Amino acid sequence: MPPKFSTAHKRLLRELKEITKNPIDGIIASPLNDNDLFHWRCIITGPNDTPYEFGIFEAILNFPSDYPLSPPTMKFLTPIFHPNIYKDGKVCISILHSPGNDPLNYESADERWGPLQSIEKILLSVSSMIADPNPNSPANIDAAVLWRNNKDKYNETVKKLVIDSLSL
Amino acid sequence: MNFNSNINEVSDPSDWDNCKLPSLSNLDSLLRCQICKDFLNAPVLTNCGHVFCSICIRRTISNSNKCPLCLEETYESSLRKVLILDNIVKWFNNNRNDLLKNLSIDLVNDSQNDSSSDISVISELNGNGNVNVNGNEGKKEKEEVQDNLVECPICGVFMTPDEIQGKHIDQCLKNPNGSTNRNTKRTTSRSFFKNSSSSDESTTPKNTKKRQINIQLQPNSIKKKQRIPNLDTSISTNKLKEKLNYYKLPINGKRNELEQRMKEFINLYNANLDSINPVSDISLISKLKKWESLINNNIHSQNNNNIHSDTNSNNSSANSSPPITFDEETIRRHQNEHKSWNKKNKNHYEDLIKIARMNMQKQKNKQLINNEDNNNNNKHHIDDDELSDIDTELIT
Repeated sequence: MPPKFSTAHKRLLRELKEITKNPIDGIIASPLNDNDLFHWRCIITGPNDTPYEFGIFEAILNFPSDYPLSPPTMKFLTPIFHPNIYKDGKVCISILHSPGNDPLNYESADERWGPLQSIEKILLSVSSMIADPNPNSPANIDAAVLWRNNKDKYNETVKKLVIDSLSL
Repeated sequence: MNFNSNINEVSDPSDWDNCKLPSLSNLDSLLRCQICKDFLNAPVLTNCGHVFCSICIRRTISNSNKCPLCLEETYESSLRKVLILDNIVKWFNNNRNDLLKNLSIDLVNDSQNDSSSDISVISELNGNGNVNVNGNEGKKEKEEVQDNLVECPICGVFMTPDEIQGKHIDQCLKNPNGSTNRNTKRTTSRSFFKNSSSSDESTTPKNTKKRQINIQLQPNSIKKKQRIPNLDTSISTNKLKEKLNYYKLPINGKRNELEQRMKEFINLYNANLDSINPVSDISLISKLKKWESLINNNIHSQNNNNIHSDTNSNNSSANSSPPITFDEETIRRHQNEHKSWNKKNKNHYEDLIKIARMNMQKQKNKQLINNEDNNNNNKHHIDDDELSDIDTELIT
């Protein structure tokens, strides 16, 4: 067992307290079980006026032991068709990238991970990324190509997958 | 270890939301480090004017030389400690619980009842059986201070300007230990800002004359210690071990583990020098050990996860060690549970959907009927209007 109150532990506990006191609209997040603060499950609802509307997307956040110096990783468990989400569910978004490893300078430093970011900011960024895909650094190339060339078909694919994932 | 039990142990600016002075949450959040969200511990100032805990900013800078707030270049050598802020934070942290108790809204409501219930409530809150009647008067004092009361320059008691200019100042000059009724009554309230243990003594006017200023502007270190310079990562492993040995640190492990250990110790050591109450080297070493065990623990659990997912994919479930943390296997189990639940209740879901559709149709039908009714009514109205029009025409 790690010591009771490491920096990361305390910080995560505080973020949990804040997120339970002031929940974000359309987003639920909490640790997976009572004994482990370093693995969170969150549920993001599809943003309104997008093909993802009415979708319920479940994701797992894994925190490193030196959080908040290093960013967590995020993985969707619900299948989701999106240019910036890998087919296995891993999320590719600038806020989850530490400022060290971007040789091509796609992303400016102020959108990257820093110790001042928080779970709340990550989830809000992911929610807005779902609504507005970033075509510059695609993770799912099929989705990116379809998004750029054939919006109607893209919307249709997304909607179909949303309905499937709700198992209606 | 269950965090639900200690979620209320961590303090948070939102603790002030339901008190008499909710704006104190601003002060509360200003006195916190933006990195660890805890109260500033040995605060240091950067070149760009931002303040963080010494250890937090040192760890951040050893990753990348940038201020996390403004992304300006920041170097370890430019960090300066802020002793006065250290004092302010310590005071606030020490008196936070008392302040919260005294400003809580429940207590205010209770204080309007008779005084006996007051005492019981306060003693309950104190939890240690110490009946603190003063807490209540302290609140009254605070309220009165807001009504433009002036502090007597001699005895430090708050009263109206007329009172001071009239009799009080003469009395006070004659008898600086002033023992008028007014004084004793007021002085009890001063203990509001002191610990409950000292409140009993402070009821005597003598103590109130001396204002206890507990500001320490010199760190507690006896010897002046030099900072350890940053680790030169190009030195040989042997020299690194020598260095670790010099600070009585363990020298086992791989090269990168040694480097990490040395770096973290330098951070801890230099941060300790920024504190107003530095601790001994021995407790620093035990802190380092804790830190290291935490990191190792995490790496091990991650390895465990990997092993588990591997065995899972190979369908060889002979591994006996139960996974402590959440791994892919449990995720899959969760998903399977979802699926079986869906299958189990498929009929029920379908019934629900049918009912929902029926209701939708019913509503639609109702709306249609309503619309027709409205239309009919409108027609009637028009008829009426036409009739009345005709009437008016006839009249004219």
